[in-house]
Amino acid sequence: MVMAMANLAMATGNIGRRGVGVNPLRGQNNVQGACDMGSFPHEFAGYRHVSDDSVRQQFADIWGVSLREDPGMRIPNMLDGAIAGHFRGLYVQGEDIAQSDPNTHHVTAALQAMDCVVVQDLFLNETAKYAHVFLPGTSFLEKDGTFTNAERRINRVRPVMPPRSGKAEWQVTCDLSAAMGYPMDYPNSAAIMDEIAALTPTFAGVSFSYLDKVGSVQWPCNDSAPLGTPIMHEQQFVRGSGQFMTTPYVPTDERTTRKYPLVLTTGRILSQYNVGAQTRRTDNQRWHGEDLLDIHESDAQLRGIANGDWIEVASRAGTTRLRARISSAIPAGVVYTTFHHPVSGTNVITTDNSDWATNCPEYKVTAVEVRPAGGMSP
Amino acid sequence: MTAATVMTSHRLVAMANQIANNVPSREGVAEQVAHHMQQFWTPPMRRELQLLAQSEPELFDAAVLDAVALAPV
Repeated sequence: MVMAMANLAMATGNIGRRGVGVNPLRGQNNVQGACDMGSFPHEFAGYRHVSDDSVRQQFADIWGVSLREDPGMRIPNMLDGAIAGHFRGLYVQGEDIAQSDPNTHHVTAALQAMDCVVVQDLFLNETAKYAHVFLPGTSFLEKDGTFTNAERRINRVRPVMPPRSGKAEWQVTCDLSAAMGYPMDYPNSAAIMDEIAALTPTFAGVSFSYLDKVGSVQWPCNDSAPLGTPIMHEQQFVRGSGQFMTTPYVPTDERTTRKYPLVLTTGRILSQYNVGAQTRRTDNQRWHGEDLLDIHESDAQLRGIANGDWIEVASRAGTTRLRARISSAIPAGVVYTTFHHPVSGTNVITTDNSDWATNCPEYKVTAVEVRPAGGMSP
Repeated sequence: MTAATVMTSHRLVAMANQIANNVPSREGVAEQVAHHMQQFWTPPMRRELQLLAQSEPELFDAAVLDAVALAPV
C-alpha cells in the first residue's frame, strides 16, 4: 500500500513541491521518529542497513563493540522463536503485545515460554501478567526528548515534572545495560541527541540547543541543509528519475467457509487510544465503554441475534464473546469490532497471517462465525 | 520436536513461499528471495529453513529451494 501510494504520487507529479506529497496518518505520534532511529531490526538510524560495513564501523567505533551484519528479529519471529525454544528473553517498553498483537493464544504461549520478560510501562498492562520483572514507565509529561511527526519535523518534548519513578526511562535502560556488562554513560538526554547527530548524516545539524533556538526542524538537517528540508526530492529522486515498485494485488490466504462464513475486520475509534491502557482510565470510557461487534441486520436476523445480545465469535484461532450492535454501516458478510478492551479478547480470534514483505499482521481479514451466546459474558 | 515447534517451522516455509510468489519481478525469483532473506531474516531463521529444505523439500516452492542454496547462513 505504501509503495503503491508512492508510485501514484510520482506518476502524477505530486511529490517534490509545495502543497503535495504523501501524508500517512499514523496510529502513534512518534512512529516516524521510531523508524528514523533504527527501530527496524535490519537498520541503523537514518535507514541504513546493518550489512553496510562503513556504517556499522561508525557505530562500532563510538560504542566500542563489534556489531553483527545480520538483521535482528521482528516481533512475530521472536514469538515463534520463543515457542521453538531459542528466543528466551524480552524487554518490552511501552507496548502491550498480549493485547495488541494477533492470535493472543500464540502470543501468551510465547511469553510463558521465555525465561525472562521485563515490562516497563505506565500501567500494569496485559503483557505485564507474563512479566518476571515490571519497571515503572514515564509519561510524556515527564520526558525530555523529541517527537518526530509524519512530515519529518523534529519537535522537542520538555518535562513539566520530574519522573515520579525517580528515573527517566532511558536511564533505566542504561542501568539495565550496565548491569549486563555494558555501561552506557550519558549525562543527559541532550547527549544522546548529540550521539544521534554524530552518527546519522540526516540529523547531523540537530541538537537540543538548536531545536530550542528554532523551535523545530525537518530532517535532513545538516551542513547541506542547515535550516532543515521542508520538501524532499525537489530536484531529483534518490534513484535516477524515480523508481517505481511493482505492487501486484496479493490476495489473503484466509478463506471464508461454511464453518466461518463472515469476514471480521478490526480497527480503532477516536475516543480510545490503541489498547486503551491509558484511555480506559479516563472519562473517555463514557464514549466507548466496551468493544461491540457491529453486524449487518440480515446477518443478525439469520442467526437470531438482536441488538445488544451477547454473542460468541469464533475463528480458526480462537473464540471470544462480545455484545452485538446491529449496524447499517457494515455490509452483509462483514463484521467489525475494536480492540481497546482486554476483556473483549478481540485478538484471541485474529490470526497470525502477515504480509510477505514486512510481516505486518493481517488484522483486517479473519474468517469467523457468529452465534448467540446466551446469558452474560463470562 | 513439539507440535508448536513444527507449526512455527512450517510458518517459515510458508513465509518463504509467499516471498517467492510476490517478489517484484518473475525473472530471477530465487535470487530475489535469497536477497530478501539476507536483508530481513536472521541467520537462525535461514539455518532452520535450510534444514527444512533438506528434510521436507516437498513443502517448498522450487524457487525457494534454489534460494536456500544461494542465501548464506
